[in-house]
Amino acid sequence: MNLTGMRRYAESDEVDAVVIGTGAGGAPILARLAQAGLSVVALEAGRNWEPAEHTPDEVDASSIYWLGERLSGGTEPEAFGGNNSGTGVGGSTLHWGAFCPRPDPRDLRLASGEGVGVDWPLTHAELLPYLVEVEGFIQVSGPADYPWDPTRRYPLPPVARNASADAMARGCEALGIRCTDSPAAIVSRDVQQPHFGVRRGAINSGATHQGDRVASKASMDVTYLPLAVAHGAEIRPEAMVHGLERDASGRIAAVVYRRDGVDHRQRTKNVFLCGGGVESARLLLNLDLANSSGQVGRNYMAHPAAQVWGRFDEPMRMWRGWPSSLISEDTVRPPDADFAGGYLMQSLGVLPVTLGSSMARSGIRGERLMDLLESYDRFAGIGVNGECLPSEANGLTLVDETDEVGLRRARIDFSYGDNERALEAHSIATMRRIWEAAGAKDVFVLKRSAHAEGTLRMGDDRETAVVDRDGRSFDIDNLYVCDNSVFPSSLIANPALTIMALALRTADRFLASA
Amino acid sequence: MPRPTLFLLHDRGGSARSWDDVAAALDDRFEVVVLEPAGAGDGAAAWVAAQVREREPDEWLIAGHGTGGGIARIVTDWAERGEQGLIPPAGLVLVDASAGPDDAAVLRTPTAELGDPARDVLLEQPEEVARLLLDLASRVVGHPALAPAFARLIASDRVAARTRRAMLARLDVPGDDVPRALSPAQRALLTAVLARVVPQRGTDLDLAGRLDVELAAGQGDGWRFAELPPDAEAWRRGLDTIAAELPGFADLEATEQDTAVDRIAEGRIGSDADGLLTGARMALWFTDLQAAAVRMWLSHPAAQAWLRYDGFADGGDGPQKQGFTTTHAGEWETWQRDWRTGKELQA
Ligand SMILES: Cc1cc2nc3c(=O)[nH]c(=O)nc-3n(C[C@H](O)[C@H](O)[C@H](O)COP(=O)(O)OP(=O)(O)OC[C@H]3O[C@@H](n4cnc5c(N)ncnc54)[C@H](O)[C@@H]3O)c2cc1C
Repeated sequence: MNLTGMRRYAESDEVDAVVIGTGAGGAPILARLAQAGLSVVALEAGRNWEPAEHTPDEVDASSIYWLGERLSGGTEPEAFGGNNSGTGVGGSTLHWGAFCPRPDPRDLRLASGEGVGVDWPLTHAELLPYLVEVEGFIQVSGPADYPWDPTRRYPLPPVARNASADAMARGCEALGIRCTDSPAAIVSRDVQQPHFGVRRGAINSGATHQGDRVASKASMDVTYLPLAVAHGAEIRPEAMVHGLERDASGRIAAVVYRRDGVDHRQRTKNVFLCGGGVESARLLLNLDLANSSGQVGRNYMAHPAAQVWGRFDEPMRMWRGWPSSLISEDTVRPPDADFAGGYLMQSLGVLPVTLGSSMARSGIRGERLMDLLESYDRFAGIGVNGECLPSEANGLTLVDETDEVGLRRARIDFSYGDNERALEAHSIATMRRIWEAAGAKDVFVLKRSAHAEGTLRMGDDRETAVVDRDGRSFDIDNLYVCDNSVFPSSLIANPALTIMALALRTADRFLASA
Repeated sequence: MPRPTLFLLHDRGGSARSWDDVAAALDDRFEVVVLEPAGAGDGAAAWVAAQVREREPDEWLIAGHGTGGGIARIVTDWAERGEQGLIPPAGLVLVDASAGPDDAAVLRTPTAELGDPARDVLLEQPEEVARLLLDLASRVVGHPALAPAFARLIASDRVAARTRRAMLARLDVPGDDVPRALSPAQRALLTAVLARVVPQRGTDLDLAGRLDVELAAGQGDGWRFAELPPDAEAWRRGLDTIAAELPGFADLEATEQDTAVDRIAEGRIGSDADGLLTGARMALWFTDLQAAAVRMWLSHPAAQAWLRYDGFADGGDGPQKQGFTTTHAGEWETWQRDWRTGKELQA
């Protein structure tokens, strides 16, 4: 994004706030605080990009993946890197799929509703105005009538459905499952984006995942970050934070980061930690901060995200069109569920390297792999994101290996419990039925998990949570966290919209308390 | 089979006639096009590139004499990178032109050279030059690295320069001088294993060699199994475990190898010995191996052509990206082909 002419602060200036990370959590906070007239600096480990610099190539696009090595353990070891972890000015939203459902109110009250998991410390009603505000600002495209929420309106009409969506709609219709155009954080026609310029209407390309060259996708670098810079925020790319200095009272006084091999120190009155579900907790554990509860790193969650693929008679060429253009929320609480929570379904188009590697990881190899890939251009997929219950067994710890800045690397242990296993099986059975009804052949299943949530959970009790409902650390009163890590329960909606909404709320609560 | 086109470029001070004797000796293997570029350097090369592009040969070679050789080098270099809308030539011949500038790009295109500072080889030994050309052609013609239609798509203005560069760079075969992580024996065993894990269709790439170079470079993918050592070490140990527990794997029948591979993947092959991997760790490592091999294979443009994939062609470097105008099943864009066969798409 364009950073020339942005306001700059001296390291010796005591700014009002430093925001660590410029993804879905950091960017809206940066904008909100700057708009309120505060002096704010964002420190971002990744580099800055112009949209046109992205490369429609799955391997080359690893430049927008977080590639610092993580160790994955447990019975469902999670894949990081390109699967769920981005970097750069804009964070993982450079790389995200822009599938943009709202969280379901029942998911925030899972403990009250179903007796498992935990309730969120804030209500859906508190979040709703922020969800609507984000959808308006980033300009979400969606259907005129949303079957599961008649009051909902989207700013833009839906993007074009692709072949996978058509096939899934056919299958759903035959089974009486309701589906509709997905809410997409992709503009369906050319629009003006305040302080950025023209975002072009979707060009119907699946390579949008590898960074959107026409800014149709709402990544932070074309939405909240230009807004922030226009209001006087400074963004420092390639600035990897590895220290938080405290004053005699224990409050944070400065943030230490490395840039071009040199350590710098930015004085600040407040810190907003927004490094994502793994990095925020890794930093706090390394620095042994904000952990009087012993909860830092605990309750790591990832959505069970199985995919079911099938081959169709006609060429589908699923790399055309926005990949996930169809949604069904009929399975948010399946009537015959033998598990708590539910799942969302979406149609899928996945590019060859990602899909092929995923097939290989699932143990499809040899002639069978070749036989299937021979029809790659006839494939279509359906995928889900389902509830993941917080569990004592799942969490992030540090190993002795260190990274380039001397921070110990993270080990993430993740195993499904009975609930995740039952949910996964149910979701696979549903998707199989849809594909059968749609006439798919050679159906195959890829089991996987996605997103990285929890580790710095929010709650009302300082014994069991790291931050309070406003995102403020119980231990250090000028430290706030807002990103994937504060989620007390996973919700089944893909997380980015909720994070952005939460970010605005966190900023508002901070401003109100100051 | 249409004949390959051979473009001939003369030396400064020469003319199209300089090639007369060579052309006469070439019989009719080639569609010969004698070009008369004015001058030398990039300007002349751009003119030559336009001549090549205009004729749209599916397969072409280029030969240059003296300064014409310098021009041929530049054109070949562009074509290897898909610039100027060119597809890579099958071969390059340099006559009395071998001493290129020191900083000239190292070319991937098979090249033959002939030169003698003491005389004008083209004039005095035209049969030699013709023989060199025919010899090179017999080695390279009919084995394009990429099907012409697909190469032309990559070179087209639907593809960004960065994408094109990344894709065409994968046509390079790693040289002997690059660092490796595996021993020759480990690499040979890996080759045998990968032949069963990814029995390539449409390509015949040295996946083991490519993976070896990548392992040595040490750029991981952002995570690894906590139970395994860092990637290169895990691969060495995994292969050593196969060598120790399944001796003679490489000599087994394919079906026996498949059974052995299944047992590795199921965690039934392993060892507690120092430096080897247990069965459970072997199973984890093997999922990495499978995923890495498939990634390596499918990122190669020839494999993408076989898949009939063209999603990278969603727009060039202009402010407007062409994208796709059709999204539904059974529809296609006018420029799309069946890239596996090069044929037009039919309803
Ligand atoms: C391939 C992919 C597809 C996805 N698809 C969807 C989707 O369709 N819908 C959806 O809702 N969600 C999707 N997501 C998830 C979504 O992108 C994330 O949930 C969201 O971006 C997380 O926001 P965050 O603020 O927690 O972290 P991020 O957006 O990851 O931002 C964290 C930032 O902090 C920086 N950082 C970390 N540590 C430091 C440090 N020490 N110093 C300085 N900077 C640091 C990182 O470089 C990064 O830029 C997808 C993610 C990926 C990767």
